[in-house]
Amino acid sequence: MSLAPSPLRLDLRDPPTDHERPRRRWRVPAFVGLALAGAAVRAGLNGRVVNGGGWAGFVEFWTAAARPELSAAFLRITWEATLDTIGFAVLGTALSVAIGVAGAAFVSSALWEDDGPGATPVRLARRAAGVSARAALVVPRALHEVVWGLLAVQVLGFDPLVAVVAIGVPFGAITARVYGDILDDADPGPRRALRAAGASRAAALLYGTVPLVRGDVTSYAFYRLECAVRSAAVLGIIGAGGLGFQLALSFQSLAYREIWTLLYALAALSTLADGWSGIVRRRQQSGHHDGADRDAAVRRRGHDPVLVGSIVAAVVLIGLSVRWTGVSPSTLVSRRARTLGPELLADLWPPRLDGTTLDALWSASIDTLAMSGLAMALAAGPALGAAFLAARSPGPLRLVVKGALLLTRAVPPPVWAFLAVLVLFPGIWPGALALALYNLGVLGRLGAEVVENLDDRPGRALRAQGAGALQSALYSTLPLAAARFTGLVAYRWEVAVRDTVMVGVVGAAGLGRLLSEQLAGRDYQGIAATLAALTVLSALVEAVGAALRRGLRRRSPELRRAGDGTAPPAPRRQPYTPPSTMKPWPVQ
Amino acid sequence: MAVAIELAGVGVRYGRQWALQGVDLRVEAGERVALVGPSGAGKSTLLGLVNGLVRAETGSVVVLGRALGSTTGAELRRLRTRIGTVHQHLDLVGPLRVVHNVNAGRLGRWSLAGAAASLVRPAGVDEVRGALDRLGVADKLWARTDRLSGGERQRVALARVLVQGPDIVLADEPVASLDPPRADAVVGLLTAEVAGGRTLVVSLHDHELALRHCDRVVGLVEGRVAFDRPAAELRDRPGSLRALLAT
Repeated sequence: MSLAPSPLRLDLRDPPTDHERPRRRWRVPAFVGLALAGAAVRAGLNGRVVNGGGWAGFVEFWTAAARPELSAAFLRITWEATLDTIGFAVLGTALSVAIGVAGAAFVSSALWEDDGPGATPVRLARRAAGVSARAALVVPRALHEVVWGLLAVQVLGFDPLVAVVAIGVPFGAITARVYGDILDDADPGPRRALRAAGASRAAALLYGTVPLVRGDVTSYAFYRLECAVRSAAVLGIIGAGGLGFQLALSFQSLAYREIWTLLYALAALSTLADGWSGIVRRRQQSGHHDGADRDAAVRRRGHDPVLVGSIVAAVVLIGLSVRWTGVSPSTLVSRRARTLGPELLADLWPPRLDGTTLDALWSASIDTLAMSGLAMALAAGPALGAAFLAARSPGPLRLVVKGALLLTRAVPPPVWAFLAVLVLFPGIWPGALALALYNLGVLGRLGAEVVENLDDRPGRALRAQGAGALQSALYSTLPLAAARFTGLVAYRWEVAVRDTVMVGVVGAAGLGRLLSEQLAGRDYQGIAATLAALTVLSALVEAVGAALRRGLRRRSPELRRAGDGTAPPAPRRQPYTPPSTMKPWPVQ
Repeated sequence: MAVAIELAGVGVRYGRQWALQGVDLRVEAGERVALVGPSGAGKSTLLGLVNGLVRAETGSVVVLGRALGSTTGAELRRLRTRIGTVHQHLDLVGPLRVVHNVNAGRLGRWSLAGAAASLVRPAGVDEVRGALDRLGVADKLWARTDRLSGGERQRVALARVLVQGPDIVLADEPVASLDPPRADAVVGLLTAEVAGGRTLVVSLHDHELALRHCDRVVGLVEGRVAFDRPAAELRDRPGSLRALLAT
């Protein structure tokens, strides 16, 4: 049974004409439901799922939350590990932005548009370059940071550069695509005008397009930093150092109190990174989508002390990170790398594709799909509820919900997987549960931003005629947020398929587990086959997700302008704000 | 005759700015009152006072026999189910179908479970179709609301009030975005079909519409009532409203 529907089967056509009552669209929901039921059956539904034996450890873990290890020696270890993690995240982001900027130049189609006389071979070459650049980005994007880390360790040994490369390569590929899209979405008018006046492509880009997109480019870089902090922590678990490495050590000795110290450090770091990136994005976006304020915002942008300060601070951080981690590009050309790199490539080729391997790949791919699907099914409902509460509930409750969401996404999925394995038998369920908890945190936060940015006038209109708060949420907030939230779930599912590798390497099922077994057995041709399967699966899932989101966009005009949430939804101003002193009556 | 709305000495302040000051207004049940005046004169604030969206700083507001200053949340909700409002921006929910947007007028009388069930299987479809039919857009019953034209949306917003069946209808610049012939048609529907027999308070930029469709015209200037005259008195004197507002 395959979980991946063909994009052609998605029933997202336009609704019928206005006169007739529309038939309920059931095909996509039914398909998703069937696929999830199949996934649940595959994961196992009998009593063999719950493991009573680990209950004591599970309880011990949670009781340790109130008593983290606070000895001076361990705090020092935690502090240094935190600095390591920051260093990896900052340098990884810097590398990814560099790759992104360079890659975007090739990927962007607007940049290479035919706008003058040119020989046909030149045009064809341009088009070919664009297509092959897009194709070249597929592989680095498809493989999770952990996979890149595992491969880099083989060549570079336990060097800080491993984490930087592991973050920089896949993030760089994603950044290149996003930057390419930003370039393509920018108003081509100024650039064309400059080209028409005889400017070179590069000059027209610099004067006509860069000023338009630099805000988006900066804000996306900070969003990537936020993601990189979490990735850097996970990479530690595979041996790259930092908080993740200490977490792995503490887990091996079952030192729960130490684990909590590290988790709190990670949560604090995550909060800082989220907060910083949030401030930069809000600053950048203020007035961005509001014609009246745009000029003021643009004028302000050049002098905004927070934005300029953030960029300066980021540059300083890069310098400090290089010093602290002792990372050096020369490692890339060290004797070890020069010997082992080509050897690894030679060992990987050709991928082993015999019957046994293919069977194993097929089975592990299904497990991976089942795990990611179940994870999203478990996460979506609670995340939607949490998003509403985090965005619209009164003060104290909102803080509690936001704190809980922060914790669930600050704890890396492998840690959740370890906890899940204490109470569930290894397999698909613990992996799905771990990814569900993590995605609950991520989706809850993204969903809350969606809800916060909704037009709240329809809801107020309903309350003005006597509807209750929940009723008005049901008739205004929910339908307004539904399409965007569904888009987010589809997008996070694509990410979750890649993320299964993270929990796979600590013992859950799927391609990640297969990969870690092959790595342990140094079965390089098998590894190559698994990497190929991961790439194909990831591309397939991305195509399905893209089809789904295209369908949503077609049906929901509100997504066309506002974006479908697959890029980080930027905190955005309300289109209309009532006088702040208008005192509404208490409404129940 | 019963009094629907009674404002006495009402003042409303946003920060240090008085939006309304010393406003006295008495609207009898079944009367059709137009509010006219320049932007920022306090028309929207006055309408907000009536359905409890805006709180009076001074004076008293009595709506359908209830003093708004002393209502609890539940009482206010009950009262609001008897007041229908057409908002300036219509405030319809784009992704919902027309039938749901019209049914939303009844949310105040429905339980939460009933409201949820109706999203899956719309309740009272015949009544909704009837309301849309009276407003000339029955064929849009199942359309997605964000695919309608401006005039069609206007009618859907009116249908929502019709289905709500309130005692008082408030409308805040309901035709601000329509061209003159369409605006005339919509205000005609508002006063004849929707308000028909009910109390109506509508703020209008267009003086001609106010005179043609309403019984009484109240002019607001800088938060105070500048004049309050029967429409019949002013109807035959072109430019009279403009002159009154200027003084």
